[in-house]
Formats: sequence, C-alpha cells, structure tokens
Amino acid sequence: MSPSTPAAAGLLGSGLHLGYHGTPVVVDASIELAPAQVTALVGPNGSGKSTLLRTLARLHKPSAGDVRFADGSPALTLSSTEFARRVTLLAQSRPVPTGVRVRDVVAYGRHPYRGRWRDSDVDGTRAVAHAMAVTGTAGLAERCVDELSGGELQRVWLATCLAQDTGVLLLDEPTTYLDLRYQVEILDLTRELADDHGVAVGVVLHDLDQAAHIADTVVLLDSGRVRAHGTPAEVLTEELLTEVYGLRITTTIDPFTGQVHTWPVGRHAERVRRTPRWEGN
Amino acid sequence: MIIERTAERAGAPVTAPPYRARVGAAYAVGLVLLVVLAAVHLTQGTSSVGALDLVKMITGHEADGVQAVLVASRLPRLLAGLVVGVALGVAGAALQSLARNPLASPDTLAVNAGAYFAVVAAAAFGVSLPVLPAGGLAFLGGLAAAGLVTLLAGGASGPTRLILAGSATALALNSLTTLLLILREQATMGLFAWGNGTLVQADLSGVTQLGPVVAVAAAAIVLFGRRLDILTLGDDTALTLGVPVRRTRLLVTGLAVLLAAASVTLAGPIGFVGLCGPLIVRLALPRALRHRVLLPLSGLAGVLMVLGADVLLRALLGGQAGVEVPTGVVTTIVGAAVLVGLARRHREGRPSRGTPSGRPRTRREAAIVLTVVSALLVGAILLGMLAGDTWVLTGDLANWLGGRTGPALTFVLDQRYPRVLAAVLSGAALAVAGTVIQAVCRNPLAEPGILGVTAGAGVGAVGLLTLAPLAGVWLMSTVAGGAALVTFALVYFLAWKRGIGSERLVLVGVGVSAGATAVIDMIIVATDPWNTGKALTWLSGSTYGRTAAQIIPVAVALALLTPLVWLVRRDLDLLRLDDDTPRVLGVRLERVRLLALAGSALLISTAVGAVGVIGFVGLVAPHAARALVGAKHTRVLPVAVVLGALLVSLADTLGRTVIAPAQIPAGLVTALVGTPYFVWLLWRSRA
Repeated sequence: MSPSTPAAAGLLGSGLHLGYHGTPVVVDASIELAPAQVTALVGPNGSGKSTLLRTLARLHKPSAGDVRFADGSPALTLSSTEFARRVTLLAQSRPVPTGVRVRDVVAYGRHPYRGRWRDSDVDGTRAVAHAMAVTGTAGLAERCVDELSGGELQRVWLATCLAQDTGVLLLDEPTTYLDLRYQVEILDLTRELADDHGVAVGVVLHDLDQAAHIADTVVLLDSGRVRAHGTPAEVLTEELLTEVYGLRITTTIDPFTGQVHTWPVGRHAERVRRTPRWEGN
Repeated sequence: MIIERTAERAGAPVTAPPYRARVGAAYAVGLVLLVVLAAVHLTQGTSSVGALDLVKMITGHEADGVQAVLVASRLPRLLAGLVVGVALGVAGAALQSLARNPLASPDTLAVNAGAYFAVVAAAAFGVSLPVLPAGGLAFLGGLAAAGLVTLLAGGASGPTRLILAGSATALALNSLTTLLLILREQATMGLFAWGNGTLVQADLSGVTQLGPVVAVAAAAIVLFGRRLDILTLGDDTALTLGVPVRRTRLLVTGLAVLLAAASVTLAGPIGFVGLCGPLIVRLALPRALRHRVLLPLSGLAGVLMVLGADVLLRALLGGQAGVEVPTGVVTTIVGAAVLVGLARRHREGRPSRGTPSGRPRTRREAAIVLTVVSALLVGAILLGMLAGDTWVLTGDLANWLGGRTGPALTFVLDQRYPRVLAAVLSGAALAVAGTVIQAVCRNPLAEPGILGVTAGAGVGAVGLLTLAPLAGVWLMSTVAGGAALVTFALVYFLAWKRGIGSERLVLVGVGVSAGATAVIDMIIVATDPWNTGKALTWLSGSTYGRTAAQIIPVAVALALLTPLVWLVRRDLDLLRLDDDTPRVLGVRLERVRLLALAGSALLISTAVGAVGVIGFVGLVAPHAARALVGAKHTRVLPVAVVLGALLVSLADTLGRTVIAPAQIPAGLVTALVGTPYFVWLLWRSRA
C-alpha cells in the first residue's frame, strides 16, 4: 500500500448479534482488529465467519451490538465515503463485469477519493499503479476483465481493495482460486501491509496452517459463537480443533520457527504406513 | 486467551414445512381452485342457461337447448382456456429457465408478435381466409418469427443474446402490425381485439385439433425437467454432468415455441400468462423447485390465470363483455396484480449476470466513435429540416435562419423545426433513461418501459382522449406526464422493502406496466372503435403537430438531469456489478438509486409528453453504445445520447417523408429502423 496510508485505524466489534431474516447466525460475538496486526477468523462452514466480516465492513446490519474504530469513534454512523476511505473488504463473490479493462476495475478503488466531475484524484494514478504492481496484475492492465482466469480476477479485485488505501483491510477467503505462488505472495503481502504500514487486517481463512503462519491473533468460531481467541499456539490446539471441526486434528510445533502445523486425521490415515497389500507375501 | 465453554448451536432450526408437503399443498390448492373456477365458468355466458339448468341436466331433467349451449359454446371456451393456460404456463417456465431471466416469456421469442403480424397482414392486404387456414396462418407466423429470432441470435449461442434478439424482433413486428392497423384502419377493424387474445370459440374443432399437440409438447418438456434442473447451474456444470447443453436448449426452445404457437392459434396472443404464471409459482414457493414440479405447476397457474380472469370479467361485466373484451386484457390485469403482490415478498437471490458489451475502447477510439455518431446526428437533423411532404433546399434553410424566406416556405419550416427538435430531444432523453435503468436493474432487457412510466403516461393520454376527444396537445402532454410520474412513484413504493432490490424492482415494474398497458387496451376496446386509430397513433409516438412550446419540458429536463446523471456516472459503473461492491466503495446505494431512477422517470415522462410512446430507443441505444465503446458509463452515456437522438430523428424524418402526405408515427419507424442495426450489432459481437 502506498505510504499515504492513514495512521493506525483498528476496528472493534462488540456484543454483535447477527442474523438473516430473523434466523440468528452469530450470537454475542466480539472481535478486535488491532492496527498493525493480522487477525484470522477460522471455523467450520456456516460458523458465521463471513457474516461477521461483512458486518465489520457495514455490508450486514447487526441486530444488536456496536462497531467502533480503535480511537473510539463510531463506525456504523460514519458517512459512506469516509468509511470507504478507512475500511475495505475483498468479498467472497467477485463480480465479472463485461466491457471494462483491468485498469478500470482497479481504478474503482479510487471511487471514494474522486470528485464528482473530475476523472482522477491526486494520488490516484500512483495508488492504482502500486496496487497493480504488488498484486502482479500490472501486466494485465489492458486486458478485458471477462477474459481473465479465476485466480487473475481475484488478484484484480484485491488490487482494487489495495487501491482504496484503507487502514482496515478485510479479506474473505483471499487464497481460494490462487495457485501456490500467489497464495504465498498474498499472505506475504498481507503481512507486509500490517508490519510496514500499520494496516489492521481481518482475514477469513480455511487453511489452518496459513492462519497459523500469518496471524497474530486467531479467532475460532463455532456455530455462531466465538469459541476461542488468542495467539495461534493458544487457539489451534488439538483438543479445541478436534471438538469444533468434529474430526480428529493433530498439531505439531515446528521446532525451528515455533509455528503450528495442523494435521487432520482422515479415516485412511493409517494406510500410508501399511505395506500395500499387493506387495506383501 | 479466552475459551468459551458453551458450544450450543445459535438459533433454532428453520421451521418451514418440508418440501413435499408444500408442493402437495400447492397442487391441492391449485386443483381445488381449478375445479371451482371451471364449475363457475360453465354457468357463465350470453345465453340464460345458469347453474340450476346445468344441475338439472346432470340429474336428467334438462330443459331444451341446455346441452346444445353447453357443447357448442360453454365447453369449447372452458377447454380453450385450459389448453391455452397449460401451453403458456409451461412454455413460459421452460423459457425462463433456459434464459435464466425472469423476464423471458413466449413473446420474448416473438411468437405472439409473429402470429399477430401474419393475421393482420393477411387482413390488411385483403387476403380473406377461411377460419382454419387463418389459424394455420397464425401458427406459421409464430413459428417463422421464432425461427428468425433463433437464426439472428446465432443458433444456441447463449440465452442473453437470444432474448435480446427476440425482444427486438418482437418490437419490430409489433410496430409493423400497428402500422398496418393505422394505415388500413377499415380492412383491419376488429383485429385489435384479436391482438389481445380472446377465448371465444366457434366450436370444439380448435380445441380438438390443438389440445393433443399441447398435451404432447407439454409432457415432453416435463420429461426434460431433470436436464433443465441441471442447466440452471450453468452451461459448464451441465456439460460436466453429461447434459448435452446445445441440443437440450434447442429442443426445449422448439417445444416451447410449439406450445406458444398453438396457444396463439387457438386464442390469439393472450398476454402475460406465459410470463406471469411461472413467476407466480416461483415466488409463491420460493425454495428451489425441481422442474418436474415447477413445469406442471406453472401450467396449472396458467390455467388458473386464464379461467380466473374470464370468470372475473363475466361476473363483473356480464356475459356479453366476455365476447367483447379480450381475455388477454383481463389476464394481464389479474396477473399483474398477483405478480406485484408476490414480488414484494421476493428476496434477492443469485447475483445477476452483466449486460453484454463490446470490447472496451481506448480514449482515442471512443472519441472517434463519438465524433462519427455526432456528425451523423448533425446530418440527420439537417435532413429532417429538408425532408417532408415539401422538400426544401439547403439554401432556403439558410435563408429561413436569416429570416429571408417567403411566407410559404416560412410556414413549412416553422411547422417543421419543432418536430425535428422533439424527435432529437426525446430520443436523447430516452437514451439517457435507458442507460441508467439498465445499470440500476442489472438486466439487459430493462428499458424505460420497465419503470411503468411509459405505460402510465399511456393510460393518462388514452383516458383523456376518450373522455375529452378534443383535448389540446398541451393538456395531453401535461396529463400524460403527470400520470407517468404517479406510476413511477407507485412502482418505487411497491418495490421498497428495506431498500430497493434490483430484481424486485424489475418484477414490480413489469407487473405495473403490464397492468397499465392492459388498462389502455381495455379503454381502447371498450370505447368508440373510431378512436382506436387516434389512440394508436399517440401510443406509437408521433411528432405530428408539435409546437415549440411543447418541447420546452423535455429540453429543460435534459438540460438539468443529464448533468445530474453524469455526476453519478461512476456510481453507475459500480451499481451494475452487485450490491456489495458499491457499498464497499462508499456509494450511498439507495440515495443514488432513487436519484438515478427518479431522474430517468422525469426524463421519460417529459419525452413521452412531447412525442408519445416511443419504445425501443431506450432499450437499444445503451446496448448499441456499449457494443461500440465498452461498458464504462463515462464513455457509454455520450454515445448513447447521440445514438438515441440520431435514431428517433431519422425515424421521424422517414415517417414524415416516405409515404407523404400520409405519415407514419416516429415510434414505429424507430423500431423498424433500429432492429436491423441492433441485430447486426448482436450478430457482430457473437462469442
């Protein structure tokens, strides 16, 4: 993100009750996205991760609870433009607009900064170029968006978020569809945004190893409740994960990096150690 | 670190009744209603045979002639309603699934338009045909039109392309039909009513011939149900699951066209049943339905709509009205009311797919396109001033501008310039409105008519024509414009439910404008037949007899509202994607949406007030602009405006000149001129 990133602006949701059409999805959840930190939301399908993230981005209205910035100012009543300059979200479903180029889509990110009449803003060109450079989409700039592959499209929308130049970055499963290289690059990029620019990052991840690798804080959701939060080593334990996911999960701590590795134990886990039946005698 | 020890599930399980029970209940309710309606239906008619006589007949104490009435008149009408309802309901459901668009219906493939055109053309040119070949004519006309559409859309190339080509063709054919109705008023008298569909049957022969066709075709479509289930998941998924996508689409389209053609042959183009029947089923049972359930239920809903409308009409207005008022008009009114009511319950579902567009152009290419179309517009305006029943020379035009022409020429040109301006300005206004509405509705079929504004204006104008045939043009414009705005307010109000959803807006808009259109038809049919021509001319959009003062509203609206739309051009770029993206980027969704829609409604109402109803341009100009310069609104808006002005201006000039001193309304020529161009654009941009 460009150096003009506003000073630390964390986001704090407290006592959030969320639901769809009267059906509760998240119950009394509190979450803090601290500046310069990466917070990973993990949990089984349907545990309310995305809804929680969407609420922080003001895409979902909470039935109870409050969202504030780190300085205590209310986030739910801020003007739309001002909020869009401080918080952005890479949503799970990414539309595929027809008839526009990659450069146009990335420039959407400058929308909250543009005047009504003028077509560009002061930092716009630089921010767009920077966002495309760090997401590896600069080479696609003149391509039609509807010709891109799923992974390319995903990086384009991430570039749009980065061009928005916000202090809070919310990512809903940013690594799906990406090849190994870009999975790692996007996680590294996320880490750098937090470390070098003080961005508060909230990210929904399915890969527990990725969460352990990148996050300062892990929030584990289970059936709409925050089951645990803390450092990866505190939350990603065999006991908790096995219970929440309904599947035996073993963990190991890497002796060199101290990082947690998780190992789901499937029904055929024993097979690899057995001698194949057709070889024995 | 904090670990919560409670792991109870949040919320109670969803307490909707199970799928089977709901489907069973839907069938039960539908069938009971059907039996009741059918029973009541049989007791209604022009003769004095009532319920009591029928009961007596069953118990063996019949009076004279009861059986004759039953067999010769009552039964054919009931059975015709059954056959038509099933045919349209099933065809509509199948086409909506294939097109993945809730706005698709048998008429989006121009079946009705083709049939109507064939019948009117035969009458207009004095080809008198016996009853049966006349039916065959409608059948062939419908099939030919659908075939043409499929050909134009490039075979099975894709659903969006198909319905766009279909809508354009239907508009063009309807324009030709209206043209014939206006120019050959005497030869085609009474056909306007046929054009709205009627269940009146001479005997059982129609039903016995077409009933089996409908039964077989409907059953065949239902057998394809499982493939249709899979097709709704998308072409790729369907192919992966082993469904032959192209063949299935072609076959089911063919069967649906067959059904629609059979229905149009039996009862004329009964509007809205094919669109509304399936929609009612989908909205009433919002959880996804399997097609083997959806299709029969849609047929049932179609029958209920047709019979219900017929029963209602005769119960309210008496048996004679059942002969005079077209059934299609009543089905549309009833269906529209139900559709609007159900649409309010509609929850936004799947994200809509984008409108088709050409490649994005560089700034320079876009500038070239804009320059070329602008030059063409200047040429068209010049031509409009020169051409007409009296041709003028360029030199005379210069003299007129300098105030040096003689009285005769001055008179001609003074008469002419307001017409030219009216055409240019309303074309531009409708193009702006169309661009905005397509972006907000996220539906490539959306057009100014969808807000109900055009049809509302029509109700005002035709109502005034009927009440006060001598009303001045000024009063006409005011009443039409006012009615248009009231209708828009109604649509917006009905579509509002914790925000405007694009899909809900489209559904409500379609319902309201269809209802309003039916009211127009009702007024035309129910009053003096000699007013038909006058009303049709107004409805077709005409610049005839316009004075400079009348153009002022649309000029002012354009001058004020076009900059306003320009201000939200980038919001429109985002609005056309989905609901999330604009909100993440700080767009105040509801405010921009209301602003844009209200601005469009104002533009449309002033345009309609100035020249009457000119369809097509609001649908086509934005599509054409996107095909030329890509989808960015900064580029699309100027090109669309100029194209809209160009199209209507050319159409107006042609209409005034080609058969001078007689004139063809500009709206009709617009569709005739615009369709080939539009279809060519679609053809060119094939994948």
